[in-house]
Amino acid sequence: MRKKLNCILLVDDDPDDNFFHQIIINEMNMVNTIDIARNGIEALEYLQKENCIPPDIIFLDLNMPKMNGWEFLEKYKHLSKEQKAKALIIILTTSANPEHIEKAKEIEDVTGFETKPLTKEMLTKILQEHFQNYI
Amino acid sequence: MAKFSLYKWFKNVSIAHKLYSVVGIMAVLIAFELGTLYFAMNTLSSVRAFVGAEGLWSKSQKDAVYHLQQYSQTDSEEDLQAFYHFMKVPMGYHKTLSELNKTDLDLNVARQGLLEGRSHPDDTDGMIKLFRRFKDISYIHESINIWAEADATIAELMPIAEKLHAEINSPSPSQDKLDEIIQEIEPINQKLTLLEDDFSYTLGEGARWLENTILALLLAIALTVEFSGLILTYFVVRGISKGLKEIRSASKGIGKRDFSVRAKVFSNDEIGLLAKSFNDMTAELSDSIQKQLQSSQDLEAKTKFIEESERRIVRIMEALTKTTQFDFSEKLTISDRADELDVIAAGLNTMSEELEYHLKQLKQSEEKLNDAQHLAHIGSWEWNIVNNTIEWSDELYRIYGMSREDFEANYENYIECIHPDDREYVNNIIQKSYQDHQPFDFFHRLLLPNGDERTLHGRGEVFLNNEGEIIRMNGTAQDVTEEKEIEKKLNQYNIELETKNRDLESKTNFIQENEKRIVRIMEALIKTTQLDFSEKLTISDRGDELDAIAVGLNTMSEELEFHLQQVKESEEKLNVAQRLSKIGNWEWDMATNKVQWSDEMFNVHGYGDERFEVTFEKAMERVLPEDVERSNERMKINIENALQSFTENSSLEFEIDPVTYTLVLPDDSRKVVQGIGKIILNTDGLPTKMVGTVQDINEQYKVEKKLNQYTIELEIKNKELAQFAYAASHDLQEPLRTISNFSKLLANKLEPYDDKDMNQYMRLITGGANRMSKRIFDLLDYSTVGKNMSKLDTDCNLVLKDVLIDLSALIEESGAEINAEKLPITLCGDLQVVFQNLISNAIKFKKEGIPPVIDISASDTGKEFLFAFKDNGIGIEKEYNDRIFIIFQRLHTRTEYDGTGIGLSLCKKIVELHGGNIWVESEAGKGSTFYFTIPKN
Repeated sequence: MRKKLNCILLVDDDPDDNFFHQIIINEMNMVNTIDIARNGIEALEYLQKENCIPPDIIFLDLNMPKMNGWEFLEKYKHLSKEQKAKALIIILTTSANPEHIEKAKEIEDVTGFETKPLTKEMLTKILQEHFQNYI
Repeated sequence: MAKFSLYKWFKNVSIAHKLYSVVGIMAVLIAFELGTLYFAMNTLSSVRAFVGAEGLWSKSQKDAVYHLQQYSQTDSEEDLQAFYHFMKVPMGYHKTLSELNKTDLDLNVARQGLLEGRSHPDDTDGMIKLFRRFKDISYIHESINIWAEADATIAELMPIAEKLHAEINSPSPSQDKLDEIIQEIEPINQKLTLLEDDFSYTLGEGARWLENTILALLLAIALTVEFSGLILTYFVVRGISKGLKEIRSASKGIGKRDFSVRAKVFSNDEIGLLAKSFNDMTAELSDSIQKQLQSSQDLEAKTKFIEESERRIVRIMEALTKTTQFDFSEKLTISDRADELDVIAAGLNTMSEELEYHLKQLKQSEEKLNDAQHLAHIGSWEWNIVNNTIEWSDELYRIYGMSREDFEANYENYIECIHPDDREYVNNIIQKSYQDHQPFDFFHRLLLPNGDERTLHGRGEVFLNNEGEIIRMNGTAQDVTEEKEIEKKLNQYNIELETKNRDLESKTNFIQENEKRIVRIMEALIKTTQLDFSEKLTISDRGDELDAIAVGLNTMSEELEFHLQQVKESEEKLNVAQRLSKIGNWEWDMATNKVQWSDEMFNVHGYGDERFEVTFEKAMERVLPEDVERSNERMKINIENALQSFTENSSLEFEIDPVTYTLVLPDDSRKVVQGIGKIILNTDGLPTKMVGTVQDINEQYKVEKKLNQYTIELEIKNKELAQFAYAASHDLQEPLRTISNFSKLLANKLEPYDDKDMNQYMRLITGGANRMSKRIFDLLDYSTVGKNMSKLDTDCNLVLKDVLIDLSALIEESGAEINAEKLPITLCGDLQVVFQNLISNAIKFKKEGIPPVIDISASDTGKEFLFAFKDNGIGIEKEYNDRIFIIFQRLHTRTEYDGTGIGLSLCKKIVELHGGNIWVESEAGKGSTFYFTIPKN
């Protein structure tokens, strides 16, 4: 039997979206823990926590209060290797603004760019591409 | 001090003097000989006199002795007296002798003594001289000694006589005593006789010696005379004959025509002088013969020259004739003499070239003017009010879309062409200008016969006669529909025209000057080629070549005058054009710092009719100080670039990018002008001058400024709008997404309940939410399309290929047949969306049951490419042909054909962003053809 992912971190300020994405991910039965950060600051705090479960995937919204996705990525760049762990960062945002896509491509830490809502197809594709030993 | 040489002196003295000298020397020698002879004669005579005197002395001595002896015997007193009488002679000589022995000689006493001694008075002086002169001569000395002894001896007779007298007269004379006394006489007598003999002998010896000496002397003198005479004669004769011989041999040389010979000069005498004169004469003769030879050669050369000159004059005349007939095919050959005829020939060549050039220039100038008008879309017109005729330039016809054949240019017809809405406006302006005599400048629209609209920039002005009445109006009309491009071209052309014009002017000056120069040179020979056209050459009635030249030059001068007039007129036309378009031109000579301004330059700089000598500083005087600084910096860079361009491409001209700057006029008003120019370098790569134009673009600048401001505002608004669209769509998406997401979940949950109505409601909710979401995305697409469009050379064939790959599923499913011709490569942004929408629309709106056929083609219409997408679909009713391009406009219900109605509006937006158009030609049921154009630049 294949392993489940350890943890997925949803970074998004929209509770509706977070709720929906949790349902979809849970339906896939692919992960042990789903954690939520409502903005960049919370996400950073989460990653820097001592007993943090290192997430396998971070779904990052761009448009957030306090610290938006871009600002988070800038800070994330300077985190230590342990803190960064082996997380995939996938931007998950409302609209595919071409400028944003271009900008995201230039950031090393970003693996993918998807538009909301998160679908089962998307998740399957991500698993196939990056987590072949998992469910 | 030069050493005096008798020989030299003698050599150089004249022959006469030589002869005189010879004769003189001879005479002196002969005189000396005669003197000697005379002296010898005198001396000998004196000797003879002495011999005579000795005889007398001896006789008297003998007589005295005799009488003394007699006296002793006779005792006669008479005898005693006789004794004394005879003793007087020896006593006289004694007197002389004793006087002669004295140092202070008394000649009279000596002479008296001799006379008493009965010497001849004539002999006395000679005798005295002989003894005094020759007393050191042995013979004379001896004689004197002998005489002195004899004198002393005879003196002893006197005491004897006295003793005898005393005895005789004694009272007792004794015979013995007497005898004794007488005995004393005899030894004396004998002694005297011996002395007398000695004296005669000695004297005779002396006389003989003298005779011999004198003879020898005379002989020597005579020989000297002969010899010196001979030598002198020899010298003189030799000198003369030698000189004469030289002269003779020189004459012989001359006789043989050898003028180089010269007689040698040996002396400065007559022969020497003769030789000299002869030499001078020979030299002169030689000279004059040389001169004669020279002059005959000169004559020959001159004859040849005259013949040659005549031939050349004929050639010049022919060339002139040809030139006056505008046959420029032949040029005169210029010899290397560089004489007046060459100057004429060169002048004529230049004139002919210039004339040819002028004619060409005129033609070109006309063509250029037309070309320039054509390019600038400026047509010009002249309305002759007196004749009420209007003349339109070719371009004006073009602008108005008319041809000369079908349009009669008059005011009424002109007004007809103007856009109906502008007619009154234009009419008012022209009428006002007509009344106020003021220039006009305005924009108006045209309505062309084919329905096109054009915007014209009309400028014009009124020309008055001396009475202040209008005689004509001149004007230009510029098609400003594509003003930017045209402005640029016009400026370039104006520079070119200006440069040409300037060139023409300078060439004209050159001709005038050159011809004047020829005139000056040839003034004395032929008064011709006076470029002052007021006077014509007078033709004589000889009709020779010079007249022909004069006639030719007259004709040429007339032609030239005519052409210069034409050039001037064309210049004036250009000036008018400059004034109307407010373009002035300038030329800055860097070496002299002189700047030449055209009239319009003064106008542009606000100087009006004021004129002055312009320098660079003066030219910059009214430029805004910041702009002057900027201009100076730019100048440095431009010159560097010009030098670089010269180094790299050896180009002698460097175009400067147009620059806009501000003038500050004396009333503090500002005026924006645009300068264009170029730097001209000489072949050494040194910048020598700059030429350019300055155009008053103040009005345009104001408009542009406003336009820029609007553009900026518009850009801001656009940005705001885009931001708004993005934010709006983003914010709208979120709640919509929630509806959509959860209605889907709900639908899944409700599925098992199998409530038909409930399931349908759920589908409708989901579908509505999805459609709204899609529309919001489409709207966002629409608002952002072309936002960062960059144009690249794009191969449309590749674009199509990509699109067909993207649509391959759809094409396969529908069985569509797509026929594409070769498409162009053109400069454009992303046309993929357009291609994709047009193809997918054509497939989507296919006729039921008929597989779609799509023909794609493109054609080059010159300025743009026309693309056509033809299908065999359901077509569009004509009334909806425009509506389909409006966003979210649909002709069909969603159930018939899926879609948001954004596709064609997106296409329209993209095409229009390229400056093109999109439209459809279609009828319901007959298929559609979508056309769109993409301009080439």
